[in-house]
Amino acid sequence: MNVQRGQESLRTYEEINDRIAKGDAVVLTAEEFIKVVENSGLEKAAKEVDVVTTGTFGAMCSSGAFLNLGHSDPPIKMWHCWLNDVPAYRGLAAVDVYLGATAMSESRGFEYGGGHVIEDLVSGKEIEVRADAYGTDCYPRKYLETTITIEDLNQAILLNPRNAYQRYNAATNSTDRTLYTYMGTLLPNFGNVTFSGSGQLSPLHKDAGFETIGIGTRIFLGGGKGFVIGEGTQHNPQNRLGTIMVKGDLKNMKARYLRGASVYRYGTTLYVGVGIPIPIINMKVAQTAALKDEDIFTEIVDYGIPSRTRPVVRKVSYAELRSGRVIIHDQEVPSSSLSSYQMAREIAETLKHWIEEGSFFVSRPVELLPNHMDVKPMRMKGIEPRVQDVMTREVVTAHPEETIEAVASKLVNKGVDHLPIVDARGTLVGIVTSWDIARALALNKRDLSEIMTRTVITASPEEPLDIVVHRMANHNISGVPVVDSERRVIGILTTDDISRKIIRR
Amino acid sequence: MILTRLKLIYSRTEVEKPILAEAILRFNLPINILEANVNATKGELIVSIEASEEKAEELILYLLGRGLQVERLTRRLQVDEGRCMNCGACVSPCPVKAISFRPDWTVRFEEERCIGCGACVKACPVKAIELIR
Repeated sequence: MNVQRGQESLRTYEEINDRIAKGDAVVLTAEEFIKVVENSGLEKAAKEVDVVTTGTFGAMCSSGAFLNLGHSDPPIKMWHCWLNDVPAYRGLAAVDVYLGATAMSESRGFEYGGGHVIEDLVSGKEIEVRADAYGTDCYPRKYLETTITIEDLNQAILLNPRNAYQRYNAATNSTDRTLYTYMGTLLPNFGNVTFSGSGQLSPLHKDAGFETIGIGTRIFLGGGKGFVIGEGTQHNPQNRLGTIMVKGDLKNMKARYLRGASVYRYGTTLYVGVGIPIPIINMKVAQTAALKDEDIFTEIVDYGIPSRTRPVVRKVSYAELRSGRVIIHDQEVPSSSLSSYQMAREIAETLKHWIEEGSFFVSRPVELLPNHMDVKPMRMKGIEPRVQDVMTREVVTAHPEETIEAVASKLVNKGVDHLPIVDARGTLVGIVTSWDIARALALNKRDLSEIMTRTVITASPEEPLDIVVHRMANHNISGVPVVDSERRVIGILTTDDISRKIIRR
Repeated sequence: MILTRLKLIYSRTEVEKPILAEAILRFNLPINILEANVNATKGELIVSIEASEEKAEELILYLLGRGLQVERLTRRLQVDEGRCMNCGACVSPCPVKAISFRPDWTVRFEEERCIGCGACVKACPVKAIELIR
């Protein structure tokens, strides 16, 4: 079980770097490596290829820059500091600040934020600096306004606590209104699917066992060279949700690979280009470096449920996501990315070129990243009741072929108002309430299928009760079927259940 | 408040449904019919509405959902290709599939299919898309 990671059984880092220095190294992008493996087999490909290059270019909110502005005269110990009206973090020494990508301009809001300031700095544009201070004997100045460019800064270090997520949830929306999320525009009633990550080019997927990536791994970062400095926050490698913390000199980066972005009704962020060279040091690395979009899976998650544990709609491969069409509940749904595959490809190509021309060498990490780490949710005060704590588990259901009379007698005999209609597998296909039966009688309808509601508002067992109560109020309904991830009915939640819960308190 | 002109095309199955009347009730929005050419198998209406951009877009999405073909008559896309980073955030939100990927994963805009609904403008994270009046 405890096989040592990072064994250099096929080639050592020194051997690879010697070949790079001589111009003999065999370097392929991950896409090219996949083709070679398909044609000549994994074993042969692993023997021939020294380095596989990767790339990703997507919104990475956990990004920002440490800036040292130099001392003014008289000097100031900045208490607040704004760069182009975007507040920077100031709990450091006199003129050190950290500018976060999602910090937003105090005058322009969602239009402009920390990510845009970073892009403008790298572009060489002038940035307006404003700072105030309380004034001390050693730092007497209380206010400052100036303009700077990146050249005027002593240090401009991009330091991103969580980048290059190995994969990410794909997003869809079960509600009846358009949602504007950090996963982009999600159309109502499962109208589309959005996803992020470069799949078969994704740096952390190409070394999914973390055999080569660790502290000190030299990488492509924002168009310059940077380093992995540790695992990223929320690193969760055993679930293929690994992340990295990275740093690099902003002064050597290019604005093409660092783009400030505004996500409608969400806020600002930074699109970051990251590419990692994967040295093929052993067969385990070769194996993961050859993974294709068809082999890399993620989950489509319903962003219509505003909970930490959003229900999973289904598992899906990156190949299906990238095809532009995914199947949800037997319907074809358009899918598209939020991260740029064209740019990911360009990054993998650029990194390959750097290595081939001998301007970029691979580095043996000082320490490999953890290959097992749990992510804990936030500890909350008190316990919020969930749907499963309150719902009725013995659900009376009916099948679509049943007559209205049979359904009516079920409602009366069992003393319920809501009757979920399920197919043979127990999957929800509709709902009938006692009101629908009354209406059927009044309008002289005979068929259950004519009166049942097909677009059913549902809840999932893990959801906080609060949120479902709001959903029921919004739709003016008194009960919702509780369904599992495959839409099988496992309970029902009615206003009666909720009032009983409150009385018990 | 802006004035928006729409061309609504009804097919044989939609022509007998009171879709426009239901839209008026639902959105509480006066819809002015400028031109109408309706027979038993097909209908074509030119309508104008005076509403906020947001409301106009909601109305368009609703009419599309009811099975009408909707064309916005005065506006077209302008894409700043230097700003576009080919991310694809605009592709799947487009209700008429006017935006797609080329084989090299750059984004392709088909102007002639665009109905000017503005969904892509909102979806673009780098403001590379504009609607021109």
